[in-house]
Amino acid sequence: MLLNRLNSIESWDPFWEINQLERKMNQVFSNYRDRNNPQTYPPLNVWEGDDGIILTSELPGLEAGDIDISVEGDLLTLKGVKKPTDTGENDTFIIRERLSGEFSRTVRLPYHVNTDQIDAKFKNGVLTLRMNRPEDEKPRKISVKAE
Amino acid sequence: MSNIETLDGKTTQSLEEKFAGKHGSLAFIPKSDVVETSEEIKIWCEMPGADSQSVETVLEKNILRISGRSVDHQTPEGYTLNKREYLVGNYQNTFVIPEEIDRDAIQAKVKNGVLCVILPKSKKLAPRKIEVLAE
Repeated sequence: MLLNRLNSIESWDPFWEINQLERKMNQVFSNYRDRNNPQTYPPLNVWEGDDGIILTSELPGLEAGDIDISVEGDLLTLKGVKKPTDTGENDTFIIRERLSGEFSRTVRLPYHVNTDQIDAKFKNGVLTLRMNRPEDEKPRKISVKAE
Repeated sequence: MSNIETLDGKTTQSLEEKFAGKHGSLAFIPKSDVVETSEEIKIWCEMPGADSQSVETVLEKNILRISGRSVDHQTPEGYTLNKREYLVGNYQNTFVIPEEIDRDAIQAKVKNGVLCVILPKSKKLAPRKIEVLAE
């Protein structure tokens, strides 16, 4: 973000402000994405701290073994199959709102995480992933010496 | 690889959260499946984060009320929210049960964030064959 701004001062782009506004508007609306959209299933909440990233996701009805998590570089992929409601053969649905099927979602993490130290927990249909930030990816404080 | 998303863009307090702050807690209507057979009515409700302690099902006359609460979802200490795609809150819904239910035989269980309620139909109202006697 800061880098973008510095660049734009160097070579001023009259459309920069307009693009920026469009981006902000898209961000606002992207918060209200349809939960049913397969492109954005499962929905994610992401927290960032000094030591790493915590990512949670709602996957009701899945078993821990149904979720396939992989990290390659800074790309995290969540894959799995959500099984349909287990009903009898002749049962008729009066209401059917639960979705089922395959899903795969890839997100780019802000940095390469320590792949040896990823902690995944699945409880009550909520997945929690804790990823550590490697030492060399941590922001470094640079002290200014007085001459 | 075209649909890789970045996790940038700080999300500030959403409209829903602001609304919730003003009007008490939010309650979500859980996604549900309802199936009816000749013997029973089965209801599944997706309530991610809820466990058997936090879910309540009450059948009052012919109204089935279900409610639940997502447990342990506190913001981790020392972390700030970067992206929010779902809100955490309470779940609530009501179903009108069309038939007489055997109230003593209702079963409810929660597994992996899905509530399943089985309501067996009362045998009293089951179709009964009446023998025709010859005189």
